[in-house]
Amino acid sequence: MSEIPDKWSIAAQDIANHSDDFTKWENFIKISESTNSSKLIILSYENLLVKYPYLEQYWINYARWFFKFNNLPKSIETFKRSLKIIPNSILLWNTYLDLLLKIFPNDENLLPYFETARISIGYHYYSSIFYDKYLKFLNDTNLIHEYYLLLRIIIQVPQHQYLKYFKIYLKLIENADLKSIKYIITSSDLKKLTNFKWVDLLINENNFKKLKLELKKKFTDLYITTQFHSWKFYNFEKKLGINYYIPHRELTRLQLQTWRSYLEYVENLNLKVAIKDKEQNLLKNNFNQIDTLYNRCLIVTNEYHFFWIKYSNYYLNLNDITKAKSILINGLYMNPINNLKIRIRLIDLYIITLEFDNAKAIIHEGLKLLPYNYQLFYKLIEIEHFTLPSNVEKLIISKITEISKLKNQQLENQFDYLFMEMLSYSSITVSRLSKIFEKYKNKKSFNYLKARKQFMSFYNKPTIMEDKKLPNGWECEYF
Amino acid sequence: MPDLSVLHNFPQWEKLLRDLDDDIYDSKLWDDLITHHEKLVENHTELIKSRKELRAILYNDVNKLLTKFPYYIIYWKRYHLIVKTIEGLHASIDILKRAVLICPYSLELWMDYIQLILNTETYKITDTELKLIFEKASSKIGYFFTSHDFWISYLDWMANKYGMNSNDYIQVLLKVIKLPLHQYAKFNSKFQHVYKNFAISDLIKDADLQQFINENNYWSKDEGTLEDFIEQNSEFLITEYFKVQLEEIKRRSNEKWQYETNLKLYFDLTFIATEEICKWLDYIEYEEDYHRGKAQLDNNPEIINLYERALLPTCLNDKIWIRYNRYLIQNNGPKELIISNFNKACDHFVPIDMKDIRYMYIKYMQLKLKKIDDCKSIFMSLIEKLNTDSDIVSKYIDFLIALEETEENKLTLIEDLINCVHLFNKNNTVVVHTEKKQKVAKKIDESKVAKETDLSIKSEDIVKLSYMLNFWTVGELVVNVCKFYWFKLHNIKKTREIFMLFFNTEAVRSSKAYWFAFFKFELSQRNKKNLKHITDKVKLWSTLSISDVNLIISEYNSFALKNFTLAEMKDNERDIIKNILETDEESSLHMKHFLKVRLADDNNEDTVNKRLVRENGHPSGSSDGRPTLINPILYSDNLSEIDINSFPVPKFRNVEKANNNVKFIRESL
Repeated sequence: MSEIPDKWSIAAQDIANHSDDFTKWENFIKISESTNSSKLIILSYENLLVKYPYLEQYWINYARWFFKFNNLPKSIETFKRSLKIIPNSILLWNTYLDLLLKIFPNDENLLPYFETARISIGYHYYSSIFYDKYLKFLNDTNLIHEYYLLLRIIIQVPQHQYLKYFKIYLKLIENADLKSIKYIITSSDLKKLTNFKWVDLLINENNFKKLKLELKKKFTDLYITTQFHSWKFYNFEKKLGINYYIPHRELTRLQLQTWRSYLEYVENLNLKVAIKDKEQNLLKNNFNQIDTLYNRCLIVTNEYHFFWIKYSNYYLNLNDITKAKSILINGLYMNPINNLKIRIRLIDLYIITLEFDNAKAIIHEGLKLLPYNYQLFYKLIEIEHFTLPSNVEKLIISKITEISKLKNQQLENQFDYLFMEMLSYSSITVSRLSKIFEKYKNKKSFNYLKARKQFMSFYNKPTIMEDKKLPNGWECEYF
Repeated sequence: MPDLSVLHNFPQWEKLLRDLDDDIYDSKLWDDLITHHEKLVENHTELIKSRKELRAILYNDVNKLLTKFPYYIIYWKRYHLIVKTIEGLHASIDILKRAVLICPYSLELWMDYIQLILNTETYKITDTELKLIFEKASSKIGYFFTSHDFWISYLDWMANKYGMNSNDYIQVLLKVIKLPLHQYAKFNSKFQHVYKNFAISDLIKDADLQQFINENNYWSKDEGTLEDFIEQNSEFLITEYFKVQLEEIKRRSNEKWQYETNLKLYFDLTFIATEEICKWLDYIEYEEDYHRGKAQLDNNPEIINLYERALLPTCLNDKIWIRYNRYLIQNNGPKELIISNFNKACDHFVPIDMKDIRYMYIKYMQLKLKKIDDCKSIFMSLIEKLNTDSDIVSKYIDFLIALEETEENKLTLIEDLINCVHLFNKNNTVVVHTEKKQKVAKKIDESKVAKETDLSIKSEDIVKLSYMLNFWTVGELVVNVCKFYWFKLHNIKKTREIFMLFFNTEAVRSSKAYWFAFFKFELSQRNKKNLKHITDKVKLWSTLSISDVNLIISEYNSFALKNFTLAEMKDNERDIIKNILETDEESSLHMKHFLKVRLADDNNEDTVNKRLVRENGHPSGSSDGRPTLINPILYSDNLSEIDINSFPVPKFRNVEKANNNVKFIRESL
């Protein structure tokens, strides 16, 4: 690292000062790449991708640099890393497979990779770019049986280019011979559908024709079904606009709203009343599809906290709190610290599942940057009530004392809401409450007075100091 | 009411009247209507002149507008022009005369009126009458900050009639230069021209002069008599006296100018923003402070004028009315004016849903005039007019309870209130869906009727009130009774008993007040069990608005996080999570389980789920079935691991319905 070009140092300084300015990051990467120094390039990409992990194209570029540096394992590892973060990225999988195909042309051993990819991105509306590659691979490696099976899977997936796969499949039926027909229909289905046995097809050419006709009918129905759903999805897809992440770019209201209604649409497809008990495969595939869509959505919308919340709510509804929490943790990383909704929700979930240490960790992380955030502090009291109820009062009082020492009136008024909070804890007895109000009787803030008034009326305590309700000489609130 | 049948020849006119019937507050429609009339009068003057009945309808329209909104100055002016075209100048002067009578605090109308009289030679009016008009006008609009044009024409007229050296002239001029007007300097220079022609006693009242001399210590007894002193120094005294006065006027005019520059001055039908009203209130506050300093608050015409001026743009809101009457009541204002203000505000200007001015009226009746029966009838008429507003009912009951002096009488009243709710429940039987439920309901009914044979109400007031109650407001009675037991008698057990008595009844089902009060009560008692009961009842059975229900649910969740034990938390985990989903705006509709239950007629959320499925993708439209592949290949099956020859042949549901159109609501109606 002895020779660091000046322009690189300047650019690095620049992003250090303006870390939220994406054009500066782009510039930084450009300058790093122009140095051709592997160390600088790696350093800058690492920094960029820690800051913006959803930049698919930058992951790809990064992996390609390793390839250029003749570091194949690193290149592959980079792809694997990126896919852990964005498992449903069609872009990443596609380039990753391209790389693998380049290194191991026509190698059957790639099949598991293709399958992992299919399970991750096969439900992507624009997955044909991947399926084409996959089919070509099967063809080139002469995996004919798999080719038939894959095509059969593809044609049941609603997607943008559904039509061309049907055409191929119908051709396969048409040209099927006694061997390949077995890749299309099982023996039991053959019996159910035509009452034939395999041997009947051999004996009589017409039987074979009849079977093909029946199959064509069946698969035309499948065509209609897939088409129906592809069109329904298209109504949403056409309004989505971009499908990749641009840092700090605001989406339009239409785009956000479309994502939302699209997600709710696929969720509703999987409502219990829509699916019969025995149709477990349908149910499971729908789950897969919903997950794919959420992850696709988050690639684009990860800066908006509400999609993270929505996704976690989806799992809460399925009673999978663990998954809901892990989604929120990712969301927490992607959202600015002062956006508290995700953090508070995560804390709530930790409290509900009684994981107080985790909840505290999340609170303290937030308090590090927002030391006087009252919402976070209130959560801390909630936890205290579970772990050490007798300490709740002490915690509140010491906070009020601490804040009053700061001599910041606004903050003090804000934290006087603690008096309201205090009223809701059974762990503080009514007589203790009374003493606390007595102790702070000189306070004048709105929240304190409100809390005290409520306390007095609820528990019939003699007023410490009569509220000045009416101005001097007034007979009622009006005059 | 003129005969409207002739209007069928005027379709546009007819339509405008119809539209106005729907919305009398639409300024565009009024403008269209009056413009229509103006054009009609302009283009068909002879026709209108010859058709008496048409004229009557036309005038009736304008009168309707000006009766409803008498401060709409622009329309008085337009009315005046219409009449001028049809009936000539004299009749049109009468319109302005009416205008300044009905809307007396409009500078513009007075100016128009006076100018027209002065410029119309044929209009017969004596000098005495004209002087009276000037006097009247000066008492109404003379204090306006920009009333200089009026004063100039008054002074010019006086100079013309009596001469600039006349006592009449100087008296008017003396009045003007005391006012902090925008163009005070103009009048001061007029004064400088003429004052030398007058004796000091004509210019300054004796008492004022004496006070002035004393304040400044100009004279002491050993310098001879006061009269002599004044005579010898009159020139000096006059200059000094008016110099001091001018300084004061100058300062005030500058101060007032700060307020005057950004006021809304004219009436219109647009919604008046609170900021606009606050600007006026600030101004009024300033003016009152000034006069308070001089101990001249009582019946001060300057302040009253300012209030009346402020009412021009703000009369449809109750804030200025309240402030105005508060000023009058606290500063010995005339009773007639106070009552007349209340009547104007309550009966004419302020819309019924602004209740504060009405409450104030009741307080005034009660505390100042001691007319209890009038208070009751105002309450009753409010309850009748705002029949969904339980706040008024609550105030009324508090009022009635406070009237009773002994504890015993109060309790009788409370008993009446409870019976009143029982009667409501008795008369409003539940609509029961299933037979099974019907049987149960019957049983309950019979047992109740047997128990409650004597549901008589003793208080006449409560009997009257009971006719006005409906499912929105009747729950308020329970709340008031409970609050009485809770806050006044501090009887927790009894309070809970009353709350529970109506827990399951129709009377409280839609009562926000009841559920919120009960929840608050149990919150303060830290009663976990009942809080859960209340929350469950609210989220599954009540007919409150979604936001109200959700508020209770989130309050319950917040309570749970602060008060549950570890074991309770474990037991209720799912419940709390469901509550979170219910109240979170990010949840999809199908996750709002309690809302779905409330929406379903049969309290079964699947009914709503089915609807969601039917309407999925096209809200408000529904499709019976969508083609579905029911035996798809399990997507997560790994091709490199499974060992089969081929997948099963596809099976379907509803393939034939793929091309069915979505049915939208309007098609099925």
